[in-house]
Amino acid sequence: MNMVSKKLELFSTFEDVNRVVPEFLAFLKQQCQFTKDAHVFVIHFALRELLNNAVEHGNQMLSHKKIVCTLYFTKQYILIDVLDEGKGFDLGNHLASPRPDALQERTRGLWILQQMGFDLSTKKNHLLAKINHQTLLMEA
Amino acid sequence: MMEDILHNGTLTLKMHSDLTVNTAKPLVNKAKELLDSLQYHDVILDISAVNILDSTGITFIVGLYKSTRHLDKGFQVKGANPHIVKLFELMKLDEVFTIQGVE
Repeated sequence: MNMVSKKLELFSTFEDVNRVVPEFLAFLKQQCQFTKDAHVFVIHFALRELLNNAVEHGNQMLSHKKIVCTLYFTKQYILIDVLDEGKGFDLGNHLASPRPDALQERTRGLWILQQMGFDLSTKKNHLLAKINHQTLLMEA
Repeated sequence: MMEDILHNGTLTLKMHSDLTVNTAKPLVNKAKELLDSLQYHDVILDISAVNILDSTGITFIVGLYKSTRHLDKGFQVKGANPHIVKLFELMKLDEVFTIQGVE
């Protein structure tokens, strides 16, 4: 199966995040192999974390700034690419290996994604999150 | 939306929507008002209607727990779906307060 993808643009508001997330989930469900609730939950969580991160940290809550999110689906993996208008950031600060204090107030989202099995990386102001179907199956 | 039910000293906060940045942030002040004004000894957060949460929703729950601990009250989460239970376990929150899954 060849790669298929869906790209959506949104403004930097949490309302817009709410608008696009169901569209991506509907797209994934059309790809047939995406049927278990646990898979939907993991991808749903990831989309919200990545897009919320772009709204809040990438574009600093400036609602006129745009975010472009592209979701790629292949036989092997799902890749979420989130592009914002920010300066990019150092993932190292978010992915330090020790578990964050369970009771800390913030900055746990990307750590959780990593623990769920996502391979996270940055390229300029892109934040990329990739998960293999095999890993996703293990999450179920 | 969050419903509050006080019965026999137990304050139940029942969520009627998902717990995301859109829904959780407006609830912070309401929850604080309830915790400060009512007479109770335990708080149950009922999330049986929550399908998805994000890190802001998790922060809301952690904040509720901290507030109840500060007030020397009991706290537990009830009705978590299996995916949310797994998420809480990943974060070791199940070692901090009681999390009951869907019955």
